[in-house]
Amino acid sequence: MLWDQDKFLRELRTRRFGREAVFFQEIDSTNRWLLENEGRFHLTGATAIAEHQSAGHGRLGRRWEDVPGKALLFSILLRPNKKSSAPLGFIPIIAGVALAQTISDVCECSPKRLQLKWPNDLLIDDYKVAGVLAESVSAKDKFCVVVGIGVNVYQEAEELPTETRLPASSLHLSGLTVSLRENLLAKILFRFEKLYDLFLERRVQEIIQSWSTFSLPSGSKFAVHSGTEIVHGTYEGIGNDGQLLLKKSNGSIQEIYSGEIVSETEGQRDSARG
Amino acid sequence: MDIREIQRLVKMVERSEITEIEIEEKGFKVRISKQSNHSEPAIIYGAPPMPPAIPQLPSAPIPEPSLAEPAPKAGILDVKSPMVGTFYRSPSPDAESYVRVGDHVEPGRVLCIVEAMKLMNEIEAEVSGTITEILTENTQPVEFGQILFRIDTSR
Repeated sequence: MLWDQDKFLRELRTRRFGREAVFFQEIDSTNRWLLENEGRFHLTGATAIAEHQSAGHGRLGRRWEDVPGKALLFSILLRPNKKSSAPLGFIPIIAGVALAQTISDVCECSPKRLQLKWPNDLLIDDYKVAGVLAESVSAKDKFCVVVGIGVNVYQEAEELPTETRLPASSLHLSGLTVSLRENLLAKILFRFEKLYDLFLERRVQEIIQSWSTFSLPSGSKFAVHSGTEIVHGTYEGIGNDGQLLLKKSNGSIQEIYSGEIVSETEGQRDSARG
Repeated sequence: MDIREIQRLVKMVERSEITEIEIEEKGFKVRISKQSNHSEPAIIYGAPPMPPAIPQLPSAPIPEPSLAEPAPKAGILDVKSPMVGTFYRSPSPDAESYVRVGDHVEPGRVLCIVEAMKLMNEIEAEVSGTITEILTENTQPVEFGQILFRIDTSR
């Protein structure tokens, strides 16, 4: 079903997120476009939506493949005041929480089936259904963050990428009540705006609490691929910068700002290989 | 005062620590105020004053401390990391580095990425000059305020 921009705007209940919105049938990357055109927008939360991205990408330039019309692909422009807001690392975190809350609510998905994988991949029954990539530009007179989000909505198994780090799925394949994408986006923006207000007001503990509803249970064993090393330990939650807290076997806590969670077995395999 | 100027002022207030400014100019008055609990400005348009008032200049915004403060040596600027994270010299592992020692850069040229919590933060040059040193290795962790590059602004 083709994207209906009017329907999306009718569904929108936000104060500013999505109030300035542009739609593209096809574009290289909504993130890139918003970063290059940020000066055209006046509101925080300006949104660029695409039916298809010809050069969608994830962390470290990894390709994000999509079949036109099957995924919900959009980017949101934010202009936080770095000095008064919570640490910027919380932006990807709140994006993930907004996705999890919306899917739990709109698609009637039990929070037990949903899992946020630090910092912001969303899994249903251990399959990745949504990803987030935040990009920002820092210069003397300019600072903005663009949060790109892709949600697999209607894809069938053969329409999903296979060469991904995590096995992929869609809301449809997960057996969820699939809402129209316009409704889904309006609800995600509504949740995101509320969480962004907490972020601006530095209400970090409330964000961490919302995150923990969907995160690994505390004490779970896991491994993280960070830089060139793989670190094993147990999950101790996230810290006041949004960083991952990992408890090592000697009892010390390692703070991880950058890296990817890998399963225990994957971590052992990679350690043996490396 | 036209809409562009108002938009410019809104942005200035949003990015500064000013919570409210009011400007009168040629019979037109605009007040821009920011709610105290967050940084989003709301525009409140006032009625034109009678009689036309003398223009008042807003107090100057407090500039944010720049991350590129001059190093002791004249003409050399340090570019520091704005956050804790991982330093990347190129947009993806197979891509060319954004810059190399000896490159001439202009303001706005992307120098590197610092990533934290999957937020890819592009660091742009703020000055024109030549890269004289790159002090961090690709994919290494960096601390807040750690010097990443030195730029000679005289070259």
